[in-house]
Order: sequence, then structure tokens, then C-alpha cells
Amino acid sequence: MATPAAVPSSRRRRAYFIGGTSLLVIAVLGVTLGPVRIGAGAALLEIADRILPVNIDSGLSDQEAAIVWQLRAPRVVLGSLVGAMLATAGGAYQGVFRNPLADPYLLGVAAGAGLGATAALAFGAGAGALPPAAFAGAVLAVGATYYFARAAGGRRTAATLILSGVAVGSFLTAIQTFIQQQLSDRIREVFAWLLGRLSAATWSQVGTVLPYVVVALVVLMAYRRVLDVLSVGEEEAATLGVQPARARLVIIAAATLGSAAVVSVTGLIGFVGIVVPHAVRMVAGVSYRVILPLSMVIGAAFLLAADLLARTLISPGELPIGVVTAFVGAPFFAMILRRREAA
Amino acid sequence: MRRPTVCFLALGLLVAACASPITVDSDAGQLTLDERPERIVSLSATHTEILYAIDAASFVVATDLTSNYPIEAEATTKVDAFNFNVEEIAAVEPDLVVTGFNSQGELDALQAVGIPVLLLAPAANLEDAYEQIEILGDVTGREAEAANLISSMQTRIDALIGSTTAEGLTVFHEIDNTLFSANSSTFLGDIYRRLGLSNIADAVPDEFASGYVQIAEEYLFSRDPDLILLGDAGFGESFESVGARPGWGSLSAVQNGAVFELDGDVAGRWGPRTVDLVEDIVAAIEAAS
Repeated sequence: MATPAAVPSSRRRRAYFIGGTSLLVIAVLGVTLGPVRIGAGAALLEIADRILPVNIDSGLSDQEAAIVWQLRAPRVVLGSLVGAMLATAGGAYQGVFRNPLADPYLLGVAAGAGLGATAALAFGAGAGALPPAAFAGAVLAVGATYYFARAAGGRRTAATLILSGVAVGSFLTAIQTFIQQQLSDRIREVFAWLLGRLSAATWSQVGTVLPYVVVALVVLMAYRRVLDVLSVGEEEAATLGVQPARARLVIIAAATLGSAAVVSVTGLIGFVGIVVPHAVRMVAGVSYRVILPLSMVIGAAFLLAADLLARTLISPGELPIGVVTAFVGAPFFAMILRRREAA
Repeated sequence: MRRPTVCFLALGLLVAACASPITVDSDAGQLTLDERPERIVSLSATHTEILYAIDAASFVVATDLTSNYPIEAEATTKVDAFNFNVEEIAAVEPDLVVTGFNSQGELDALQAVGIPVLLLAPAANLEDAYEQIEILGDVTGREAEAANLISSMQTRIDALIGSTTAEGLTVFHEIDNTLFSANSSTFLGDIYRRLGLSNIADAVPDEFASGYVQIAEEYLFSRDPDLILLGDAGFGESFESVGARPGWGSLSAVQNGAVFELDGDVAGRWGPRTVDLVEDIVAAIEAAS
């Protein structure tokens, strides 16, 4: 087996270092910047006071403390989890399907979650019912994609799965649009959710997604070498002692569950799963042993940076974060396509 | 058959007025009708409320799905204004359609099949609302009823505005739980302004000049409004649910119990029940100060 890592390890180390440092810096900015002026020192002291078992006086008023701990901190943590999960899942999907356009929403996660959330609103459910409904919709959609792929192909090849995902996605989106049409008075809530938002981040949302994201990331990290083997080809992988069908199922299940969990609380934040792994590939080479962990770190940093822009560009107003990621992501995507064309 | 009776009883000048075309100003230019409409379709809940309040209900043959007041309006033929379908409306054979919106090309589509449309876009202030009542009175021949409604609304609203001093109080109006809000260029915001309230939505850039803006949670905290008014009470928001939001317990309005529910239907319309709306807001101000 040829290791496809032609990139020198010093460069990889530098990439990890830069990614990790920017994540930290952006996270600190995330709890510092906002319409209310609070110094980085005081903000960090406040967070230390809440996390550490010692009593630290940050000198902030009750309200400033609430801003740091109830509004900004969960937003930063949730943003990191979402960015890390979407970017890693995107990288994993691209590897498992050997398709550079694959993203975490490929197998119907987005359409299923969207339908689940819309249906919950249609039945008069409160905001708290959105995440579980979206999660259930996403998992059902991917289940349907798998089922139809098997019914169609017998062998679940990558191409059959993608086609089945497209069909299921279109079908569910059609139902969602129909329900949305009937929901005239709550349409804004549906759109706000569809565009993706971190603005409503709470610690309870962090608690909801954390277990899924941790399990999904651990599984994907454990399988990153298998992804390198799969990238050589299915038959070759089989001769190397990897069961392609089973490995693919595990990877897809982990990436899908993690993505469904984050989508269910933040809505559809697009392009992170495509932009980040491709950017990582450009600097760190094509080995998934490097792409996945780097995507995780840089994905978190990218999403936090996008969120910073979303809440400062038109301050004191706020842009939906999905608009920012797509605004940065779409031109980047076009650039990658051009490069491929040129090569 | 009230219309011919009125004409017969009227003096010569008025007889001429009945027979001659009716011309009114709409938000799509002047609208001229050859005859008084007798089969009106109202595509807006506000205009349905006005038509009923000026005793023109007998001309209303169909109303849209959101027209839920007065209760009698529910008994008319129902059409879907949100998913506008010109044939659905043509089927009830109206001789006039009243609408507040033209976002789906309602005007052109209806005129293409020969149905006159009276477009009265959402009022931006009380004067606009009074003018729309007057126009609907002119169109339906209920001029006196319209004038009475306007003067009674004016008297009561002016008295309410005069009865309170909210000077110095800041307000946040919540349209939905994403913290969407309305600034002073909207009908509702104009009422807040007249009551002397300072609206925290006014400092938020309004890119589309729609009057409706997205408030960021932290900005809300930085302004710490004295009064929080919930236009989304119909969707389950309340003093309790707002107080239970993470961090909101530190807001003055929550600590002082100055979070009040408004009837979302009334707050989103500019019809006769605006009086009730102003009453509710004044009660909230009294309770908060």
C-alpha cells in the first residue's frame, strides 16, 4: 500500500499549529466581541469562575456575566462542535464516496432534517421540539436512502447510494415545500432555521449535540486509515483485508449521525463540509490520516470566524451564519473547480 | 336592498353621486368603479375587520383564511390569499377585490380577468389607517359609518395617548422567538413612538427599509429594555417562557415583571381593534412604571 502522503511532515505540523492557534484566538474573540464591550480578561475570568471549582471575581455585573456565560460561551462551544463535525463528516463522505463534491448533506440529511423541523412547526410544536424532530427526519431520510439503494442495486455501491440520496432528498424537499406553503404565519421561523443559525445557542443545545459529535468524531478518527485504503479502490481494499461494505457503513453512519445532530439544533449551515476538507487537502496532501483531524480543527475555526462575521458585519443586527459560510464557500468552491479544470 | 332605498331618499345631488362612477385613491393609483360593488372579496384580515365595522358586511362574499374577526367573517366563502390563485377568486365572481398586498402579482392577475382591485398597502401610521377606513367607506357607500368609526377611534386613541407618559421608557417588541422586531417606521412602532416609548429596534440597520429587523440577543441585553411586549403570545411565548430563556433572568424587564403579551392578530393589523391594542400597551406601560 502506497502512503499518499507526499507532503513533508514539517508542513503538516505547521498546519496543525496554525489551525490550533487560530481556533484559540477566534474562540477568545468570540467571547470578547459583541455589542456590549467586555474585555477579554474579564470574560475569561468569568468563564474560569464558572468552569473551575474556585470562586473568581471577574468584576462583571450580573448582566455582563449572563452575556458572557449564557450567550457568548455556548455559542462559541456550539460553533466549534458544529464546524468540527461538518468539516470532518464532509471529508469522510468525500473519501468514502471517492467524490470531491460529497458533503455531509449528501444522503438526504438536510432534506430529512428540514422536513422534520417544518412538520414540527406545522403541528404547532414549540421551539424545543425542533431538534428532535429534525434529527428523526434526518435519520429516517438516510435510512430511506440506504433502503432504496439496496432495493435498486443489490450491492450498495457508492454511485447507487448517491443517486438514491438525490431521489429521497428531492422527494422530501417537495413535501417540505408543500407544508411550508400551508404555514404562512410561521414561515419566517422555518426560513430562519433553514438558513442556519448559531444565534439561539444555549448550553442545553451543547448538551444535546455533544454526545453524538464526540462519538462520531472518535469513530471517524479511528477509521481515517481505512479511508486511505478505500480511496485506492474497493477491490484493492478487499485484497488488503478491509471489508469495503462494512467499513463504508460504519463511516457513513458515524458521519450521518453527527451531522444530523448538529443540523437538528443549528439548521442547515452549508459549504463548511466542502470548503474545509478541500482547503486542507491543498496544504496537507491527500491522506485522510491528516485530512480528517486537520479538517476537524480548521472546521471549528472556520465556523467560529464565520459566526464572528455574521454578528459583527451589520451590528447591532445579525446575519444568518449560513449566508456567511455560503458567501465565502461558493466562490471558493468555484475556484477549486477552475483549478481542477486547469490541471 | 338598502342601496336603492338610500338613493331614492337622497336629494338630487346624491342621486347623481349614486349613479356616477366612484373614484378612490388606492396604493396602485386611482381606482374608478362604474357601479357600487356588491360582491367584495377581502384578501386582508385588516380590511375584513374594517368592512364589518362600517356595516358593509352584506357586500362581502368571500374573505381570506386569516380573516378571523369578527366571527361572522369565518362564515363567508374562504379563499387563500397567501397562496394566491386567481381562478379561486374569480370563481366567487367578485366585482371588487380588496387587498393589502401585491407581492404575488395579485393586481395584474385580477385585472387581466376584469376584476377591479383596491390595493391598500399596510398602513405606516394611524393617519394611513384612518384614510383606508375612509376609502372603504367611499367605495361601499358607508361614508357616514366610516366617519363615525374614524372619529370614535381617534377620540379614544388620543385620550389613551394623552393619559400616559412613557417618556424615557425603552421597549422591545417581539414578533417571533428569533427576536424579529418592528421599528418606528411600522404602524405598531409608530404607536409606540406616539406613546413616548423609545424603541430599541430603531438603532438596528434596516437594509430593506421594511421596518422589520432582526435583533441580536446580545444587542437586546446591551439595551436592557424597560418593557418587553410579546406579539408572539399566540405561539406560546409568555412572561414565563421568556424568563426561562438562558440569561434572560438578568434583564430588568424580566426582573420587574415588565413582560406583557399582546394579541398577535390585533398587533399585526391596522383596523378598528387598534384601540384595543393601544389600551393593552398603555396598561403595560402603567404596570411597568
